[in-house]
Amino acid sequence: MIARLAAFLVLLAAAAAFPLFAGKYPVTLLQEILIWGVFAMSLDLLMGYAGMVSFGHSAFFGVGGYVAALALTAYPGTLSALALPPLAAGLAALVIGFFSIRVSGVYFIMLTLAFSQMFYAVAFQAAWLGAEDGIVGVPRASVVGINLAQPMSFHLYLVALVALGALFLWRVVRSPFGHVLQGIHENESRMQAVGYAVNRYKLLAFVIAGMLAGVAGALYTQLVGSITPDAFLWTTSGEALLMVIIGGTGTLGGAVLGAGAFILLQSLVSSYTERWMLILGLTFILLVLFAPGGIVGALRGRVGLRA
Amino acid sequence: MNRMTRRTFLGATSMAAAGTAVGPWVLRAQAQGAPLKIGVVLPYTGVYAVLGESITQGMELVFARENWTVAGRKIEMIKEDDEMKPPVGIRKTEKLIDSDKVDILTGPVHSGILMGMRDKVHNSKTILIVSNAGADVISRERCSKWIFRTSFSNWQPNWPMGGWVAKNVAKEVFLVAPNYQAGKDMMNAFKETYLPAGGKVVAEDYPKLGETDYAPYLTKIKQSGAKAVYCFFSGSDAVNFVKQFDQFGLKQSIKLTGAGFLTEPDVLPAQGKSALGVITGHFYTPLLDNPVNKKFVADFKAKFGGKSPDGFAVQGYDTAEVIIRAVKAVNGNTQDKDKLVAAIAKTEFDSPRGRFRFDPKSHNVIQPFIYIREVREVAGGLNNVPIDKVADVTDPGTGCTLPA
Repeated sequence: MIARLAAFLVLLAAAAAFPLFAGKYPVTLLQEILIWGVFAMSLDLLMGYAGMVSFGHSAFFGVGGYVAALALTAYPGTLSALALPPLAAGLAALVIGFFSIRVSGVYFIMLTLAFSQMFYAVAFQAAWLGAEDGIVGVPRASVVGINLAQPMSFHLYLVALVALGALFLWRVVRSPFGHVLQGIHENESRMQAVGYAVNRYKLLAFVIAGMLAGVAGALYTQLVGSITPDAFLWTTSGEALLMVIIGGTGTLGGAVLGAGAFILLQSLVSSYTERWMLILGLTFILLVLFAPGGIVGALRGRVGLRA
Repeated sequence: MNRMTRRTFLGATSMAAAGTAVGPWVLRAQAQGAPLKIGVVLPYTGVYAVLGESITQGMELVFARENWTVAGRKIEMIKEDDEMKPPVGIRKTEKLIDSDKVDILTGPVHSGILMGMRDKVHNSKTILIVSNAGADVISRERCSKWIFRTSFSNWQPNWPMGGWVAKNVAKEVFLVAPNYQAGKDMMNAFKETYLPAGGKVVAEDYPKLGETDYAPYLTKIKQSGAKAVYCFFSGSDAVNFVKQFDQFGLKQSIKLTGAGFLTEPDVLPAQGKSALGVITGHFYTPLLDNPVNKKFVADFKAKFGGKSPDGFAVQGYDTAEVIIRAVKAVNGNTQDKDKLVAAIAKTEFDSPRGRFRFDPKSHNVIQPFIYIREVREVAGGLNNVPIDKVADVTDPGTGCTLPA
């Protein structure tokens, strides 16, 4: 427990200090990995703990991103950067979740997918959302008194938010609530029989995951300075799904590792060969065959890491 | 726990050695006389890979002609696959700017990627020569001193067509385009000249992007009494629409016209004889009768296994030609970026599409001609035969003020 906390703090310090000894591009890569890490972790809460494989998680990433873009353009400030995006994403999750959690398995995948594609269709056509060009030129505002236009303050802000998100999720999965979610994953009807209001638990998990995905979307908008309808596209959900599986389902930390592996493969290998997807695909197949528990699963066997 | 074996030790030390060996070399590369680095952000995988490939081939044709050197500097193309995804394209742009420190950036195909790249290049004062994406705003409200465009703005191929269709085809037209902003922009550009010329838009309809069954729309077109259809479709949409228009039997009574993408060489073979007689506006067709184009078509076919060049290849060709001429004009000194920008803005030459020059107001290409082309069967198969042309089509550039 203490060793884990220490490891977390060391990693955190390393991430925070990264810009001091790395170039601009590696820093951007790290920032993207962290953002996608939060997004993948929030999906892992659904997939790995509650057993809800959602193919529509991009909806919340996109809502967070778009709300941040609209709000920051109109009123640059703390509220626009920190509060509105997760609230809007949470609201979207409440509505989508209300309908989707009533079904499970393939039907759940299809419903969530359909909802996210609806968001995509709206964003792609609505002129007030910039249609297919998206919203561009989003400023980095001053948040809680820190001027995020400074690259280093933005980096620290991002690392801090990601760390808070990770700690929060870690608390959630270890709480009684988290154990109920895992119970639902193992045997939903038994949990119902025991007397748990299963649907309420599932909906709450869905909303929490949605809000964190919204935070990731908002961070992404601030990192890049723009957001496009592609954020809503099912491929965004698919990539997050891959990250979770590569890293190790149901481990939270694995989601971040998976995000790192995916983005590094995508960015570095594709600079050398156009057939990078082949390499990504082979890596994926090898991982699933020889390390079904993902990166974390493989590490556990070697370094004696425990669940 | 793993113990460090000899092999892992050797691996680690050789990696470290490689790192120290490469470090100074990377630093030196920025000096003068070093290679001229051109960063290319284009789709090289997925459905749009054919566009990325054509643009790249057009560029390579020019660079190969110059033996891959310009003003004493070796030309180095750093190609990055943007996968047609804005996050990836923007990440690759940052890599090229910050890590590779490219002298000139070029691409992309996707307007969303261009919009994301815009602030990155504007703030870092990196020169970007847009080789496809047609978002009008890049020549208007969101123009930049550092951004040039050799391809087109979405407005350009459509605006001349309005007047031409009103005069030569029909005064009653039905408009169809995919339901997204670019589709609507193109229809509006058409109306800008069609309505003043006495034309009447009977109706307009916007099917969803990627529609496979156009039957409901074709029924409406049939009942509307329109004498002609003006449309914008590209890729698989263009194939489906043109084929179904023919299968529905509308071709005999209603003339099909549209923006040039409708019958470009990437879709024409799949459309087959259904495309015969379709009239479109575009800045290029391989059949243009000028010496530069004849040489371009012959060289392109010789270099790329008989492949006939398309508009995309011309965009790549002109982009490379602009780079070569501008870098020569500053004697290879790309450090003084203001001078290089001025040199690019002044670049003028004979391109396969006609006399190439930029609009100093917006840094967007002035189309020497928008050619009105009709699909006909000529020796060797279907092709876009030029039947008329409108000269000097310049984007209005509304809202763009470039610093002097």
